[in-house]
Amino acid sequence: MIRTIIRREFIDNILSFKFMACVLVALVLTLICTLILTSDYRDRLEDYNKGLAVEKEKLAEIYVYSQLEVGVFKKPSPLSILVSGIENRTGNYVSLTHREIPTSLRGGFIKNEFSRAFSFFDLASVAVVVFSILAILLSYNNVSEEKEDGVLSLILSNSVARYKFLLGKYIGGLISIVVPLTICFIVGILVVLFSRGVEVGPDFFIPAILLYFLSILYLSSILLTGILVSSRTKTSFHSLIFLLAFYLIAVFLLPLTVRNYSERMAIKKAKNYENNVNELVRERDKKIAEAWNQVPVKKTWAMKSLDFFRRINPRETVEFYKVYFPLREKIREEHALKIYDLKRKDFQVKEKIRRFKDIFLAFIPPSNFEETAELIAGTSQNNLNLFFQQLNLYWHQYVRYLHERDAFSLKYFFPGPEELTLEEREIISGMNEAFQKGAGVWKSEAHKRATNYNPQLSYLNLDDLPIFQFQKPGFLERIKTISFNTLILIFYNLLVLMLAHFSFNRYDPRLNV
Amino acid sequence: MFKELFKRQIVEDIISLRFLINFILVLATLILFPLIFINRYQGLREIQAVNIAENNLRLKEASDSLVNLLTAEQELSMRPKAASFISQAYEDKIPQGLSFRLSEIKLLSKERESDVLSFYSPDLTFVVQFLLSFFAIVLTFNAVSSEKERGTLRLVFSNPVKRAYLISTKYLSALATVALPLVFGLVVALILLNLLKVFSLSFGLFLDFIIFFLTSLLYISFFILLGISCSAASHSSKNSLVLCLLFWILLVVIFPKSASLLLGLKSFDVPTEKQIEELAEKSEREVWNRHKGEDWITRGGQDESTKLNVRIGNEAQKARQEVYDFYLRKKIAAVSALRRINFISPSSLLEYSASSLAGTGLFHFQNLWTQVKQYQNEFIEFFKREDMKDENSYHLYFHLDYLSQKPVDFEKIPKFEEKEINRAQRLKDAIQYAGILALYNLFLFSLVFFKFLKYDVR
Repeated sequence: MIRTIIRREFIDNILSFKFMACVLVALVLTLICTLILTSDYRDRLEDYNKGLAVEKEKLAEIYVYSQLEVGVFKKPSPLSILVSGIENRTGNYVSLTHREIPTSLRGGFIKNEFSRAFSFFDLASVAVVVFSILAILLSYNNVSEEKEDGVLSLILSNSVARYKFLLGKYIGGLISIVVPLTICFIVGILVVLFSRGVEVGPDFFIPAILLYFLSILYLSSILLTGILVSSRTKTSFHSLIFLLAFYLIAVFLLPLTVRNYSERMAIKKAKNYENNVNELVRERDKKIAEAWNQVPVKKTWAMKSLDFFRRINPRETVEFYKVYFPLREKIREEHALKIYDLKRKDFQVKEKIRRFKDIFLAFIPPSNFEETAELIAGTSQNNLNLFFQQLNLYWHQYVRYLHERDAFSLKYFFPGPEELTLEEREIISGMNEAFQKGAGVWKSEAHKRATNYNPQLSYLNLDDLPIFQFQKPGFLERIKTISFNTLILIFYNLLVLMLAHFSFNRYDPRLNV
Repeated sequence: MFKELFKRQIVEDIISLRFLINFILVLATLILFPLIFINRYQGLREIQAVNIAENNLRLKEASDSLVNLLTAEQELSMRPKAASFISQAYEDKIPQGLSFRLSEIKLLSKERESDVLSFYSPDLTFVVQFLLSFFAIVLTFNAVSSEKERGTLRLVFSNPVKRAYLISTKYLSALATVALPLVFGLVVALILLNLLKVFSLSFGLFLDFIIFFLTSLLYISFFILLGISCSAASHSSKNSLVLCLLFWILLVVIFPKSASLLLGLKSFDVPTEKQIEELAEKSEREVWNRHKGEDWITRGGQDESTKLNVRIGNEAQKARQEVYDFYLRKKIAAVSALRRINFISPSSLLEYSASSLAGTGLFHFQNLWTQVKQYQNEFIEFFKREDMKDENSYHLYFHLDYLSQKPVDFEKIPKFEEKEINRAQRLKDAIQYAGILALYNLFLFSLVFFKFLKYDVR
């Protein structure tokens, strides 16, 4: 009997106008957004590869450690095609120096900083925005309309248990949603598979499949809500109004309110950095100025840093920088740590608020789904935090490397062998003489020789420079992070199913009572 | 007759469940949003105060010698506005302001990390954009078809009632029904904001709210007309509902979101911050290279070569500034182009109109930019005036070594204070968008009208 109910429900649904219209819209949207996001992904991947290549080239052509700046690129994940999360909006590289511990990404989509005023549309949003409406439309008149049509009394007058009827309705509805959802997923994945230059492996498919099951779980929760409301209201019209209000509140209003509230709290609570960073920077600059004054300096003819690269400098200047640079860079490094500490304190406050928010949002099915999808796809804030945690470790490693290489000594600004060649010494002494004579340095033979001097410089050997490699969380770890949200979603499903069952058991199938 | 029809319709609308839910929801939201808003507004105000204090401190430190003012850097950021309750227009997501030195203005690269948390902001625009438009279609999706299904439509038309009358009353009553909660909500929100001391209600602000209300009416009217036309176009109210909901999703949620997907296009591409810095460096160096053969070594204030040096230096600085300006303009142009694509969605039009009206978002930033440029001129004039007073200065602008070293009075240094954008300018900008919205309305209205004239009431 239950099979008949399911079959009838399914056929009823898929032949209806609402089903066809929603599915058509969902399909077209899926196709468009995956196509565009795939091409966007390809661009980002290209950007990433190009960035890596340029970085390698740059590293090969460095004379002195003062030029050293390590570009770290975050590899785009193909899963961002399905769930873009925050990945497109947070940039893709950081350039790392000993002067600063990075806490935010640059480049990528936010090359244009104004672009943040826009957001994205992806497969996950299709599920939340379009499929939810479909689930509501399929379920709002599940019970109440059968009553209005007078069919309900008829059915129940046969020997059909009420729970069987309800279960049949639920399963029939679920199947009618799962079919188009599967098609959308297949379309999305096919687009990814058949695009040029996009290679995907098992670390794409397993999360994609997880995502698929999660969507079913989510849509089932909406469907059950629909059935519950339908079995509590007198007319299908009322049930529809309630459900649409539920949609508006759960999909847009509540997440917006909770997110914004937590964001505002974060702005209000975390002001450690905002209030103290200027002081720290001032302290740093003061210390640097002190260091400059500490070292006796003779103002003489070459003080432009570019001249270091041609090795033509008065001895006094070289002596000065020999003392000054190690002092300055030490101060900068120390303050990089101090500033990072400030930021971390703020960050911890924000994290606490964010975790509260996440737990709260987990109880609203659409936000729960969105968040879990981001966690599965690895495009969530958590993933980014992990990236920066690892980057912080790398920074320490990098600075240790610089110290091991004695990078802030003469090597910081003076390229090549420390001893000057005979020719260089000649030019320098010529310049010294011309300078002592006073006016006319510019026209002197020595000046001409100095400006035309282009030595063959030797590059630094940076082969053993530590390389940053982002370790993505393993499969089990990811499962662990989503387990809380998923459990809540399952619990929600069971609860609503039970409620619907009870409420339907007490449902009066007669008309006009 | 018109009066009776209207009365019948509005009573029917107001006693409906839809109205009740709409009323409660809008009212609840407009009590909740000011509370969130105040939180944010105060936080931002405090940050702004820290920022201004820091700027003043830097100017004060620099005031011990006039020439130091040349290199004193200030961060001139957008002032948080009370009017942003009308529309925040993603103001906290775009760059917060400009970094200013006497000779250089560029985009502030400081960022706030929490800006990735949520996309929509709790403001009045959201309430109208999402809640009211949604209820507009829920209220009207069965305006015509349900009457037909019940058979009342034939009854009505058996009386001498003009079709135009009937459809107009339906439209007007729906407009009134949706607008009523908004009026209540607005009053409650205004009172709340007033009590929370966000602002004291002035006539100007009141006017802003009224104009926003009128624009909202245009927007709501669009969705009412959409609902009625779907209802007149489909055979049953169920189908009409599906059509309405899908239109709503497309126009309100999807179109505004999808334009950003085009930002990847080559024509919108801009270099990264670091690359722009390099390009600026390069163009500065090019100017110096152009004068390679000339004698521009500085040898004291009177010397011709020093003057040449100063001239080239200024030219190079100008070239550098041009690079910054060029890319900033390009970034804004790219976003503006996307906004133009979004004109297709009435929801975006409402948002842009509200943003211009409140003077927030991109409009705010552009205005800040203009004001900072004015401030720069003012500052330069002040600098020259002060420099002229010093007889020991060579008045060679702007070479650090040949200008006055005397201390300046900190009080006299011009400080940047962002001026409120004047209402005429804001309105002019807002009216463009509202105009397009009105055109959409007109189009839909005539569509509804003709569709209904030919409607089969059986």
